[in-house]
Amino acid sequence: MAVEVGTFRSFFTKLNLVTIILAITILILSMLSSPKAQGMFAAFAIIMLVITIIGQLRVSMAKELKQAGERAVQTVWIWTSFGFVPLTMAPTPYFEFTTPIMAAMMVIGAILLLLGAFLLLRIKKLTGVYLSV
Amino acid sequence: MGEVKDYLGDYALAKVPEAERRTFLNQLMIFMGVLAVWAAVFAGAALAAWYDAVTLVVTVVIGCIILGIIAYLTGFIGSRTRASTYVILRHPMGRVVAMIAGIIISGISAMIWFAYETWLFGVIMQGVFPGVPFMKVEVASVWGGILMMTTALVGYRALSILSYFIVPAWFIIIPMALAAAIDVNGGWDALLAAAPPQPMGIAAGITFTVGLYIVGATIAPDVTRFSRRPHDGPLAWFIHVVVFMPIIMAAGGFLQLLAPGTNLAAFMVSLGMIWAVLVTGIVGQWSTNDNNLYSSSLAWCNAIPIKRVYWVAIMGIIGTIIAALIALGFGVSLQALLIFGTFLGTWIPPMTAIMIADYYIVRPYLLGEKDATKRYDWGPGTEYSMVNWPAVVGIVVGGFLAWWAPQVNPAIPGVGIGFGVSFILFLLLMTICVKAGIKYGLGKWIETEKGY
Repeated sequence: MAVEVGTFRSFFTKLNLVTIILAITILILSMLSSPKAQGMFAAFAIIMLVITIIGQLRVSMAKELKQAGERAVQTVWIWTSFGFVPLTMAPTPYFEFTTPIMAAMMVIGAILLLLGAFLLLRIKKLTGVYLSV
Repeated sequence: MGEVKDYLGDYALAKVPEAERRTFLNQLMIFMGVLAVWAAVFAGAALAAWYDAVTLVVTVVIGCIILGIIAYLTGFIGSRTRASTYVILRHPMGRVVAMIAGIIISGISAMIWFAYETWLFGVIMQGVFPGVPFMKVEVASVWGGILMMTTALVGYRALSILSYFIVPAWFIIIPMALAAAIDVNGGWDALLAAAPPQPMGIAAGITFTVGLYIVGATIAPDVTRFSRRPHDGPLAWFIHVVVFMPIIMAAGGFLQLLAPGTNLAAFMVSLGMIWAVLVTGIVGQWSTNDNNLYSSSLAWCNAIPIKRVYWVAIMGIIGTIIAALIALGFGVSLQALLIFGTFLGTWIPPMTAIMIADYYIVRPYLLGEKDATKRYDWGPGTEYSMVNWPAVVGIVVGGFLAWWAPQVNPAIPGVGIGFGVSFILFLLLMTICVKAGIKYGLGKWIETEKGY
């Protein structure tokens, strides 16, 4: 089920935007937490933002569907994996997160993993590229 | 020479076709997946017995730059020839010596690494879940070994997907844990003031670092043969080792300096990072060990041509049994890693040196084969010598000196001696042979339709 490159870009942009919002949420939540959490989770959120934005730019500049698909898969793999970070690190007592913030972080981690898995399979279907690109 | 059909699976004895070639990021992720392993962290901890924080970083960075240069050179051969390391070795060493060298480099060494890291996996599981029968070292080693065989059985695609899945998280979680470890144990001032218990010259640490990953540098073509552009794979190897390996080894070393006797995994558990240890332990160990098994199977295919998946199963089962035996009788020891790293550092660099010397100097400048893509042409009908005797002499002399020299003076870097002596001796003997018309290749082997 191949689509036009423009349609694919638009589809990817919408879901990538969700990731950008999640990264900004992590950044805000970390700022509301202890100094220990602030530094590390803010740095993580910024790395995530940078990678997501670079991925968006690369997909936007892609000239053909296969190229756009490959770049999209690469970007999505990275932020999907990043889902493990808030999911596994937020419950650590060292970071002194309050329970609501810890829960929010873990939910964000789970969303990243699930959304990533969905998006990877969808991109594969739409563009026909390997997941092991 | 024609393209060979893929009879053994995953292009073990066939050129990787264009449709199967992968991107720079794919190659980087696979290499970082190999590095994403607790053994690298523990190796850094072992170095903390010898060095303070600054010397440790300097030592590791120097070792990693050496590794990066070596792997760039070997990896480029792979991306140019589209051949695995063991097929490449047929040209400089001769067909029969390539079989034996491949078995030493990967067939057995990578399988031993597989066994060692499977055992380490069991150690981590028991550390995280003490008292749980399913997580006892010997039990976790067995189910861990089986788990790690699955992606190696599927092949390169599965290795890539697993690496993409875990590597980005691994390289965020471990630096976060390191930062927490430094903070809890007195901060940067305490780290910079910490002194090692047995100070040692920098050469020993460089040898250790290079020895630790020299097999990885040597077998880089196993992955770079899938590289889309010739420099993608080699550059990915260089970046992963020079940028990321020092971070991982520093993580173990710094904690060891601050809190001697504590390993980072146990420390993370003590901070409550149990899920992070589980994820980095299970999937990280997996993404490394499947590569070991994958390379081991490729080496065995070059020696005995049965389907690659059978070799994965055979070596995987043997490695898992060894891991369980270590768990039952060998105990938990960082010293074991030191001994193993030093041993590898002794014998493998001479083989690497000969591969590099042959491709980059002998072929273009002595034999006149200037075209890098044609230099190691291969496929059905290709004629190889059985034994290239200058290569054998180079390996034996270089390997012996690499083992003997540090016995006389521990400050002498054995890896460097082995590499350098083999490189020079091989070049010297080949020059004499070519100039004087002496036969250097003994016997004849013609490649079969199956690439054997």
